[in-house]
Amino acid sequence: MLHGFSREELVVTDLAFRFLVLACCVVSALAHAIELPRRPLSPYQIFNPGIWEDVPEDSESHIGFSIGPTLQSNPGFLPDSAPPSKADLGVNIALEGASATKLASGRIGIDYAGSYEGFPEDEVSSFSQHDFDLVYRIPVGTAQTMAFRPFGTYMGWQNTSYFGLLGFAVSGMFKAETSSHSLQAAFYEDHFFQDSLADRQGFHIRFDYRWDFSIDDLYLRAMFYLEHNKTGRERLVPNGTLNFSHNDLGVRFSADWNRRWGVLSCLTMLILREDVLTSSYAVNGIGMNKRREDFQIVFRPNVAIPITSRLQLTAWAEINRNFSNFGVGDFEDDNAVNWSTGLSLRAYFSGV
Amino acid sequence: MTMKLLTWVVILTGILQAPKAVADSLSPAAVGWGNLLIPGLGATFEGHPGTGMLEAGIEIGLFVGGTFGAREGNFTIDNSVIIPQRGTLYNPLAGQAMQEIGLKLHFFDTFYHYQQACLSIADSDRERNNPQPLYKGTWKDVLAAPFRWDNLSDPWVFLPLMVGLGYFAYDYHTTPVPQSSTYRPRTGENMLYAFNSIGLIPAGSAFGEEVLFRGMIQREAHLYTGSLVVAMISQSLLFASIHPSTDRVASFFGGLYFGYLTTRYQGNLEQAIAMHFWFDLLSGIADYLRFRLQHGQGAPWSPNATFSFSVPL
Repeated sequence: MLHGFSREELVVTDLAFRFLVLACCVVSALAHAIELPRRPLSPYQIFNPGIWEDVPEDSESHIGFSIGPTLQSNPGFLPDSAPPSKADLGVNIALEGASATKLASGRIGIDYAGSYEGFPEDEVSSFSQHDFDLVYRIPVGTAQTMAFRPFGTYMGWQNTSYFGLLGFAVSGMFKAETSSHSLQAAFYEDHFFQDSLADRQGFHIRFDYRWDFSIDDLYLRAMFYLEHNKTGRERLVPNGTLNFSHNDLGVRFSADWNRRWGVLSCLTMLILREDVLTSSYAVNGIGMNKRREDFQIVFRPNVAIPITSRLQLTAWAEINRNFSNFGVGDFEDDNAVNWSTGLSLRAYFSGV
Repeated sequence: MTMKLLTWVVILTGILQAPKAVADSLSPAAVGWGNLLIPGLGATFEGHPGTGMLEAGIEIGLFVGGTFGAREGNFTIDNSVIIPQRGTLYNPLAGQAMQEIGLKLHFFDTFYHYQQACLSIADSDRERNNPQPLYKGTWKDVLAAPFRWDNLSDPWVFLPLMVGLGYFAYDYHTTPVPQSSTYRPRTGENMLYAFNSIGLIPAGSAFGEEVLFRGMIQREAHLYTGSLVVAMISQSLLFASIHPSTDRVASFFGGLYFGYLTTRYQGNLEQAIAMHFWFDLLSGIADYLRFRLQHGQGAPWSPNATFSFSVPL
């Protein structure tokens, strides 16, 4: 058991951890744990099992250092850098109302592995993530490539083993003149080291489809994924059973517009998650019998302005709305992770 | 676990043969094995990503959609439905039908793209030296194969079918079927169960399984290993591994026999397709009758549940 957490608090903070919200900002009450939507956008779903990013072998690699403030309704961690770097170090000061939470983080990536360390001011939320991703590419035609990817992730929280996953993916890419089409099937098993979360672990089958188009200065990317997750069930409340097996359907569009003064980007993402089975539970004494449906929509405009060849100013805003039919009302916006705006100054050091 | 591991070993061995394809041409191995794991990859590799997306959407959508009613994401085929604790049988039966259509369509599409990739390099050494000639039939040929007199009148087809018919009749009359549930299916549920067991599963088995396991996997395994025995055992093991555990031994020997028929007729799959279809249809009739008895209902035409089969030859 993690230090200082009751079983119920652990469930709540697990939600916080998985959805990149600092644990100190989450209400630790069981009723809220049930009402909180299970946000589909958990970090490990974005990273490893997600579709293979074909980074050209001759691409320039960097070490980046960023510093900047963010203003967020629920303070979270810094988003990934763009362009991607081999290593990132950063300091973020996240604000919520009048209070401020400082977060120092570092990420390092080599060809087949990566590591992330987060050191929030609040030690309860300190965590680390270590990944491996062994991509083996095979050209199978003049414009076709396949890749085989054994991958894995280990996460620690408060110096305790917390979460791990191990999987295998097969990808294929077809490159045309101005577009590329990537497909991937991933099979993986995840594991929670805390017994009380074990019902959430299980087997995942995920299919990703991505199209990249390049038209003059415009770069468009569309992604679609479908995932089935087979898990267990948990008797969380008296006379109630929560089921965790579910199907995810995600769509993501992004556009980058290269201008002389910088890059204007926009990302839109929609994710629908629906449970396979009906859950029964009680909220505030009212008995419920529902098949859970969560819906998330993310909209994120971003502007990156190069000041010099090694210095970049980035500003972004993110609107993140979550809806769920879990709880007393159907599809009420829970407002848990609502919006964030950020400004960061990033320095790149090439030649790593 | 052993079967799962074996399945992966065979599939990955197949995929890793991809670089041995003809230089400057699309590898049929990559198309076939790749599409088997990633629906839509074959069409995308052939330069038709829109078609690939459509195939993937239909195949994955049907299979994953079926998880809401029937089994979760196990890639087993021809399973029986589970009687729900609450509600009716409509959802599990509809889910079973969706998963059956999704998987079998995926199997056929996998073979189709593999077949097209092979045909595009028909003059290559890879294809000329392949010990098993490529089956060149279309989807119409595959669907018509069980009803062609040439196939049905072949003693290698109808004699085993007669033996199968005798076994099913004997088993039905001699093995008691305990009434295992108090659930009483309605007429619509019975009809849907009969549609799945007697229509969809036999048609899907003939349409999807033969072309994939004997038309592609046995052919590729024969090419890689140079051994017909290894090829037949490999495809039969894979074939058995995705069947429910109670059917695995029968599926293994069935796979061996269908593989033999394919070899005997120089890569022509139609005799194996015909036999597989009618065998599954007879098995489906017996399964449906047992389902009725298990739920306190007799055969639809007699309260005493006596019946006889007639082979449509």
